[in-house]
Amino acid sequence: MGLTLRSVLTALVSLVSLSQAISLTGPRTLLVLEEDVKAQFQTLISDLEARGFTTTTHSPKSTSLTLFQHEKRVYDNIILFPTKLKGLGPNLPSSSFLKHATAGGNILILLPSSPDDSIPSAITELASQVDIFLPPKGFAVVNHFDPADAIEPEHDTLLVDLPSFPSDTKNYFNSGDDKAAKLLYRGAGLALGSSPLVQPILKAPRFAYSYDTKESASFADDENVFSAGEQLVLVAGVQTRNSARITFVGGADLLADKSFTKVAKTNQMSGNRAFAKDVTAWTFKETGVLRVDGIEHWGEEFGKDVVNGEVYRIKHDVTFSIALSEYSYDHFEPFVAPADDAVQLEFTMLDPYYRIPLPASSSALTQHKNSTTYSTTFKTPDQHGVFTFAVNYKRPFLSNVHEKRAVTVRHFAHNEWTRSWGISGSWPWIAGIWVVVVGWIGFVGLWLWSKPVVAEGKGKKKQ
Amino acid sequence: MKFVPASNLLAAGLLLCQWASAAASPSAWTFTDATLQLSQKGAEAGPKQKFTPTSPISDSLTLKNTDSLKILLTTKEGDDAKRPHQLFLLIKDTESELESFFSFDVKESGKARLDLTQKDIPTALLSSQSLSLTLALGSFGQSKPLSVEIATVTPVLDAVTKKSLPEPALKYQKMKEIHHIFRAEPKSPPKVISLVFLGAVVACLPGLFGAWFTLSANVSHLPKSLAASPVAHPLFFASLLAFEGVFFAYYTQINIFQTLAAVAIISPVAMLSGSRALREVRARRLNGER
Repeated sequence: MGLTLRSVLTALVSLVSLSQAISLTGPRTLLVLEEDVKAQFQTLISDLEARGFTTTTHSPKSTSLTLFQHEKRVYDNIILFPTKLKGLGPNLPSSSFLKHATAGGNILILLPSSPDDSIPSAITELASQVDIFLPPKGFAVVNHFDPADAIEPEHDTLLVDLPSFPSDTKNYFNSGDDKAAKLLYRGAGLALGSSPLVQPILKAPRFAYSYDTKESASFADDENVFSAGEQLVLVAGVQTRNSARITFVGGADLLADKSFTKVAKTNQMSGNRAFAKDVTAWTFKETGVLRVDGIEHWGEEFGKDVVNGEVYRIKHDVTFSIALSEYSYDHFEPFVAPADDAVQLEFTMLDPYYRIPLPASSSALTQHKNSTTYSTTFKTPDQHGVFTFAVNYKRPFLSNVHEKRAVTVRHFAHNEWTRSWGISGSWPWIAGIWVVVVGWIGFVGLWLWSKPVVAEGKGKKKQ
Repeated sequence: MKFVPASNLLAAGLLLCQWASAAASPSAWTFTDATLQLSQKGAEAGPKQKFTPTSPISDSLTLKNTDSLKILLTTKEGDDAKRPHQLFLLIKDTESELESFFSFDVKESGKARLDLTQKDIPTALLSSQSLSLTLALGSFGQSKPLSVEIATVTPVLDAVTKKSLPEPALKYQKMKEIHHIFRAEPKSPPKVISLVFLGAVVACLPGLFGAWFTLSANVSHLPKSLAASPVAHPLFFASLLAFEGVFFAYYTQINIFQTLAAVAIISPVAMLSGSRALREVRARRLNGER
């Protein structure tokens, strides 16, 4: 009886802690949508609410809607759902979104899946400001090589594999149980500029292309194809320099209830629901957020007696450690860098003198147990001056880590040089000095005590 | 009757099977009369190289900046010449997996044409060692699409193009390692040379004393001096030795202040005892003993 009561209690506690799982930015989420659209995204919204987000719904045209009050963000996260309207309301210009992101807020933008719906100009403008290019109205992605449903001739619903990334990039977008699950996608797609702040999350399959459904219904000619293959991006994430996140989903159906179904072709559940969770979790900073838990550096001169001292000597061994942890939904856990990636340390005076990897160390910084300590030892360069330990860890999908610690690197003190007898070239010169010294002492003795012998033979010399 | 090899029969059979299955399914997209022609600007066009869905062009092509590449083909759905919705030439860098596409110019009759020069290829692909050309052919409906690799091309860049290739865009990733290169340690000449000169210098000392003693230097007056001034002479000589000892200590361990203090203590001793000792020396001189 007591046992069951306890287990019920633990379950309750874990439930409470689960419901408190919130993003690092905050739980206040604004849904910009019209009521009829809301019905299509019930699961997405209820999944968000189950993760601790509090939602507020506003119509795009709402006059009472304001993103800032007393120059403070009113919402932590914004989701812009597709709308039938030509434009967003007067309270939602593209600049307000940028201001929201500058203030650290996150934005998830769902673009319409149907080529008949237009994209509000505020969103197009915002996209071009963050180096993402949207096709005009009327474009749709098709893939004749792998349509979701073999019977439908339109081929406009795509089957897309879950995202995979190079081995130096962490994958936050396949946390679902079924790694082989396919995503159902319908929409126009995006093209990305070369900004390092923009990352493709989901790319189109190799033979897919986005074409103008009105102009080139019979043949996809050069002018009417927006983009194709892996250059065509279906979901893209932007992380601003202050680590706020803006995600563009090329087709809203990707996250809509109707895609959380079985895929006709494989007869398996689509991966959309898990993917929707991953995309919202990343955008709203439940994943991919790094925290620096501690930095320690100490040198050969004083050892660990002086940690984070201000002065080091040239040509001395210095050990630098940084403890990093990563947020995962409701807790921080040790951050493990991807296999082919490396946390790097720079030792800089104007230019880096060193840029060396910081391997994960087994000896953790004592006060921070729940993090990974990255540590390395190197020899300070033979150049004195003010140097900076810098860890500039910027990677796709991870919040920026840029830590700097300035220290003085001093020259040898006068008593730290090699002594003259340690230099073989100086031996004759040192010997010269001591020969003179001994010779002089000998001379003084002889001068004091020598008895003239010459006088004996020739008689005494008179002065 | 001529003897037909078994393998030929087998191949023919397979072909027949393929054809049969193609006919059975709704239909499949394919192409015929496909040729690829490389021609140089101002020169006569090169030979037309034929290819089919099953036999790509085997020899590797090179594309210089004056060359243009022309592909002609006729698309077919099943057996009927027809225009598909998609007829792309995909150009892929086999190393970086980057891929770009070019759309053909296709007539209703299925006659397709693509002209390609080096200029048209995105610069990101131009620095590649080998580009693979893939034909992608598909359309709406049930017909099977077709993708087939038709050739590999190596772009040959001239100096100007090479220079104008843009720097790769900044990517957030691991950067190249840098390790400080230390200045060379100061060097001494070979120890042997130092030791030879050390020997020469040290040899001067016995040489000097030897010369003095052959010139009849001696210490015969020592007992006399000690008898005359038993304190001053040893003290004076000892203070001189002490000075040298202090200098040696300064060289090895003590600092300038300790040295000055020691010198300040020894100096009066040396002064007083020295004047007494020299007075004794003068006395000897006046006695005619020097």
